[in-house]
Amino acid sequence: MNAWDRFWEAPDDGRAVEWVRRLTGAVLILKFLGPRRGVFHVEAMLGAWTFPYVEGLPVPSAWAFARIEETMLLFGILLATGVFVRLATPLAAALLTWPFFSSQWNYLNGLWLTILTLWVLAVMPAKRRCLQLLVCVVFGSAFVWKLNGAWFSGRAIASMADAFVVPVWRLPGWLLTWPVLLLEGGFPIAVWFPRLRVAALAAAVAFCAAVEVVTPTDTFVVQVAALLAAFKTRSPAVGAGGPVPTPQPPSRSIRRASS
Amino acid sequence: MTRDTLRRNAAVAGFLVLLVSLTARSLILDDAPFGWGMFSRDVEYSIVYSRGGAPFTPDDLRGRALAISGAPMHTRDGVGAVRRWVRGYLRAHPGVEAELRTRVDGGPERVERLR
Repeated sequence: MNAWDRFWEAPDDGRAVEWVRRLTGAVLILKFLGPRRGVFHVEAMLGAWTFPYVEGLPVPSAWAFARIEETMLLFGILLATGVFVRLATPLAAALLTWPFFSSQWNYLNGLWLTILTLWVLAVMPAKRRCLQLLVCVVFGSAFVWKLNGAWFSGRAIASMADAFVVPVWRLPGWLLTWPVLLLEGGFPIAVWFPRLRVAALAAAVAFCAAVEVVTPTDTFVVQVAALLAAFKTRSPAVGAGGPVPTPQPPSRSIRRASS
Repeated sequence: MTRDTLRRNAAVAGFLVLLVSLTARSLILDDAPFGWGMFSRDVEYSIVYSRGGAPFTPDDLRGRALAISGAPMHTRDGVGAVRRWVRGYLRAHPGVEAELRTRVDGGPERVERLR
């Protein structure tokens, strides 16, 4: 078996994907329940232009839009509780994709990430690997985008002061910019090394929490944190795509049931 | 190679191409949202719409679309994202032109006409 096949066919007990599915359901509940529901007023969602190249996509009416939000809340509950997930996951993906491309929701990269996550959970093979790569690409892209003079000098934070609800811009710029660059650039590499994985994941979770506190992102970093669960594993060898663990004898309850 | 392996390889290869394409597209067009290029640079911009050479203020922009209403605004999504938003509006309003003024990280002002 070559390296490509070994990577995609790494042993997987499905628990990590299950965690991502449940947490993504929780993200949907957070999105469609409470003050963040709808993100904008329903009237403001409509009457806008549609996404380029899909102008023919029908825009849901205000009534339909409200029903979509309620249905997405239901799907969020189903995914979070693990009920009817085979049916709920593709339906949730399709239902969220439609208004995303036909309304002002397409401004929100958090929703875009949730949509991709749902499609991976719904239709992709090797789901855990796809989710792992997705979160690595998110961190890696954010890192590449920040490779400019404003970030190296620390000016970037000062110029974005109005985006922060916590006055972090009063701190020296380098104190914020370099750790961010280190994390966003280092995580996609470090997380593949078993010895560094726990530290990388802990740093990423702390980073997501800090970003959400300092500059709320409308569930974007919450979705990123949910994707980190794709690296959850009981055995470092499994997560690393290493040798297949030795099969364990069936538990007492299984033996009893089979006998 | 079995049919299942072929199907899997096609699916994951397509997924990888999608992820790389989204990132590359965002970097090339300076349009962050679909490539997760968060908080890269501060872009200050203002837009003047005109029809037949006469400037006007769009009164049909609502919600997030007010971000292209014309008043000086800031974004961290890149100049390309602003161009995409404005072009989306222009596509729905034939005959309307826009003058886009941008300043990246407090640098020199750049003026371009979109139609």
